[in-house]
Amino acid sequence: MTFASFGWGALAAIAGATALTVLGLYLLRRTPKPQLVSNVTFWMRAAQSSRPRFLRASRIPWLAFLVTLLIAMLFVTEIGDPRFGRGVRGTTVIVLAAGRSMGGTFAGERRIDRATREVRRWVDRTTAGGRVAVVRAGMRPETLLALTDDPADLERALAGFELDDGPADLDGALELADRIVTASGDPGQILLVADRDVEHETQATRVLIPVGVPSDTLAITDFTARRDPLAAGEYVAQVQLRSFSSREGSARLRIMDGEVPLLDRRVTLPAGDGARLTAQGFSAERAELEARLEDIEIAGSEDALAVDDVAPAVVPPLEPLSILFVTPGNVFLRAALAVHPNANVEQIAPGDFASRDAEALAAHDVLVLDRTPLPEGVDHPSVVLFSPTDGQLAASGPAESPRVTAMLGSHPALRGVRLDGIRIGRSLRFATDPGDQVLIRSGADALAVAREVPGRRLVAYGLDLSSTDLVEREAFPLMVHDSLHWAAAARDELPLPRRLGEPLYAADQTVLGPDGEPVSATERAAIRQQGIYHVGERALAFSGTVHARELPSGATAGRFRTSDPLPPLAVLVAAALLGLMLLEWTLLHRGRLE
Amino acid sequence: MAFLDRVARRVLDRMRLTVRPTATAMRQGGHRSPFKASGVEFADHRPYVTGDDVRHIDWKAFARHGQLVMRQFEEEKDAFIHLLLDVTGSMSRGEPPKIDVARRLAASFTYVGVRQFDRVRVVPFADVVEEVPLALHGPQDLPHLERYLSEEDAAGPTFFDEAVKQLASRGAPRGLVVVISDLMAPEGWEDGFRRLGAMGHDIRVVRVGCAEDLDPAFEGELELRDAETDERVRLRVGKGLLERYRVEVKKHLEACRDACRRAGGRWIEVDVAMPTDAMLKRVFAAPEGRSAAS
Repeated sequence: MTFASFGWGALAAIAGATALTVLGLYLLRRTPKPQLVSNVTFWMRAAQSSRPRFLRASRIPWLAFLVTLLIAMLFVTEIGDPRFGRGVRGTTVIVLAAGRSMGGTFAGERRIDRATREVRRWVDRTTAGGRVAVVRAGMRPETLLALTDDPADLERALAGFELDDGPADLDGALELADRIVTASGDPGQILLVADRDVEHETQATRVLIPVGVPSDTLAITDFTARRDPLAAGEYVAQVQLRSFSSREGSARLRIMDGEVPLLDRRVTLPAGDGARLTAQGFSAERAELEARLEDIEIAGSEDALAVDDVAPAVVPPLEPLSILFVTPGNVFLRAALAVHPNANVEQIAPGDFASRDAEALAAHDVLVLDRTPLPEGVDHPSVVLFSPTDGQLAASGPAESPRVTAMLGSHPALRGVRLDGIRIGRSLRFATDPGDQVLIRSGADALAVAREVPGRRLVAYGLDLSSTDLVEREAFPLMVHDSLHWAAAARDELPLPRRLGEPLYAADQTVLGPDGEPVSATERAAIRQQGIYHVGERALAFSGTVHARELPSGATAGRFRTSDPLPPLAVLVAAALLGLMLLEWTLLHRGRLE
Repeated sequence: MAFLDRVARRVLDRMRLTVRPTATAMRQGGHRSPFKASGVEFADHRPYVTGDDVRHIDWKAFARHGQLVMRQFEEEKDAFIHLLLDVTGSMSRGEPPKIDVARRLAASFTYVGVRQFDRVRVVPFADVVEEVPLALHGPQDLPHLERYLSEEDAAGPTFFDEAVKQLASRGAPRGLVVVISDLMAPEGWEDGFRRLGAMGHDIRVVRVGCAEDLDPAFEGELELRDAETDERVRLRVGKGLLERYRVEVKKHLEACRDACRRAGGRWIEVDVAMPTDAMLKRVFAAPEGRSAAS
C-alpha cells in the first residue's frame, strides 16, 4: 500500500496510460505530410550532411522519445509534483486547524470542509514512500492520526473531524508537529491547513495552505446571567453584541429560558459597532438561558459563522444560606446581608460569640464577624471578617486615610465591584501570609485579604465601615454578596469554570453535555463545546463568547497559496513539457532520415 | 502553333541560331563552315598555284602587285540540331510545370532552326531516348512537332548518359545539341556532356528551373516522394536542412555547368516563372562577341 491515493496497481495503470498518451502524442506529432519533390536524392544528401556527429540520426528520435517517457514516468512517480526535494516527499505532518473560525462558511462551504479537501488533494500528491500524520489544532493540540502510510486511516480520521467552539492553538500544534517530524527520522515537512498563519519557527519545512475568505459575522461577545443583589430572588441577563463587518447588519436577538422567551428583539448594528442589552426582573429558582441571534441580515453579505450566534448562561438555584452575624451594631452591614437572597441571618453580640461551641458554629454556613476577632482554634470553613483587631487574620496596624491604589477585580469576592473614587477615613492593614491574596491595596498596605486553605476560606476587610462612603454605594452590598458567595463556596466540591478549554471537575458524578449525552472523563479534561453541562443537579454553562472576534481572512478569494517560493505546479509542468518539446525540436528539426 | 503564340513568333523571327563552324553539316546553308570555298563572304587571299580556278584570281591585286593571288570565300553550310528534351517525372514539377516550358523552348528552337534551313531532330529522353525521333526539314513540318510534343508526358527516371550513348549509337550526325532539362538528377550529366563534346557536337544546355527545386517552401515532418522513381523518404524538414539542400542542389548545378563548359558547351538557365519573351531572348542570346539578332 502507499499513502497516496494510488496503490501500486493504480500507479502502474497511470504510468501505462501516461506512456500510451506520450507515445500517441509522439506518433501524432511525427505523422508526416506527403510532399512530392523532383528528386529525393538531393534531400537525402542534405540530410546526411547535416546529421549530428555525436549520435546516429536513427537513434535520436527514439532517444528523445525515451527521455520524454522517462520524465513523464518521473512525474507519475512523484504524483504530479516535479519539484524534487521540495514537494510532498517523506514524512508530512498535517496540522489541521479545528478552531471555531474554521466553521466559517463561504458560498455554502465551511472552511473545515475546504481544508479537508485540500488535505486530501495534498495527500494525493504524496509520493509512494511518504507517510502522513495529522495533528488536530484545536484548543488543545492533539495527534489525531499517528504516522501511517495507509490512506484509509486518514479517511477515517477526517470522517469524524469536529471543530472546537474555542480558538485553535496553532503554536502548540506546530510544536507538536515539529516534534513528530523530528522523531520520524525522515525528511519531511509540516503542512499547516488553517485560516490564519502564526509566527512560529519550526525545524521542518512548513507549508501553509490558507483556507477561507474575508467574511462578515455578527457575534454575541458576552452573555451573563446573575442574581440581582439589589432584588432578592431576581436575576439579570446581559448580552453584548458586536458586528465584525464593514457593513450594517441586523439580527433578531432571542434569550430563552428553556421554552420561555425572556427577550425577543430586533437589533441593528452599524458596521463594526456593538450593543449591550439587559433583561432583568425575572424570578426563578434556577434558570438555564440561551441567547441566540437569528434571521441575521448583513447588507450585501451573510453571516459566515454560526457558533458565535449562540451563547449559554446559567442562573444557579437559590440555596438557603445560614449566616451568623456577630456585630456590636452596623446598620449598613446588616442591610447588605439582608439583601442576600435566601439568606437566614442570626445576629448576636460579640459577647455571645465566645459562648458558642464549634458544633453550634458549624450549623451556620458563614460567619460574618464585625469588629469581632476570630479566636484561634475556631476552624469554621467560611468566615468573613470586618476590621478584625485580633485572632485569626488579625490586622497588623492602622492605616490613616488610605487610598485604594489597586484591587483584585478578577477575584470572585470582588466580581463586578468597582471602588473608583471611594473615600476611606480609617482602615486596618494586614500582614499577609504566603498564599494570601490581597483584594484591596493602598500602596504597600493590604486593606483586604482573602485566604484559602484546604477546606477553609476567609475574607478580611480592614475598612472602618463607619468612616467610608463605600457603604453608601451600590458596590457595598455587591462586595458583601460576592464575599459571602465565595466564602460559602469553600464547601463546594464543584467550582464553576465557565471558559471553554477549562476542565470540568465532577468527581464520580455523571456529566451530561449540551446534547444530553454523557461526557467522558477525557472530554471533561478540557471542555471544547459551548453549552450547558449538567453535573448531578448542578448546571454549568461553558461559553465561547470571550473568543468571539473577527474571522481571519485566510487566503484571498480562497485560492490555493503556499509559502513555497517555487511557482505553481501547473507552470512547472508546462515549462517542463515546453522544454522537452524544444529539446526534441533542437535535436530533430535539423532534419535527418528516420 | 499552340506552343508559340504570335508574340513569341515575332520575337523568334528576329533570332538566329548560331552553330560552331566545326559542327555544321555538308549541305549549303546559313552557317559558317570551317571550309574556304565558293561562298559569298570574302575570307582571305592565297598565292595562286597551278590548277586553281582562274575565275577566283584577284586581277585587281595582280594589277597592283604583279602577283597572282587567289580570293578565298567562307563556305556556309547547314546544321543538324538535336533537341534533347527531358521528359522525366521531375519535369512535371513547378508552376507552370517545367515540361510545358521545355516544350515551348523545343518548339522555339525548332521554329528558328527550320526557318534558317537547318535539319532539326527532336529527341525526347528519360531513361532511354525515343526510338523514332522527329526530324523536321522545313516550316511545313512544324504541325508535326506540335502533335509530337503534345504526346510526350513527363514520367520516368533520368539516365542522361545512357540517352547520349543511345543517341551516339544511332549515328546522330554532328551538329548542335540542345539539352532542355531541369537537370534534377544527381548523376550522368558530366559523362553525357563530355561524350557529346567528344562527338564534336556544339552543346547548348538550357536548364529549366523552378522555385521548388532551388528554394522549396515546405517545412515540418514530411514524407518526400520522388516524382520520377516514386521513392519515399520521411524527413523533418527545417531551416537547417533546407539550407543544406540548397547547397547540395547548387553544387550539383555548378558541377553540371562546369562539365558543360568543359565540353565546349554553353550554359543557359531559365525559370518557369519568367515571361516568355525574356526567356526566349536569354535562350537565343548570342555568345559574347556575337549578335544573335539577324
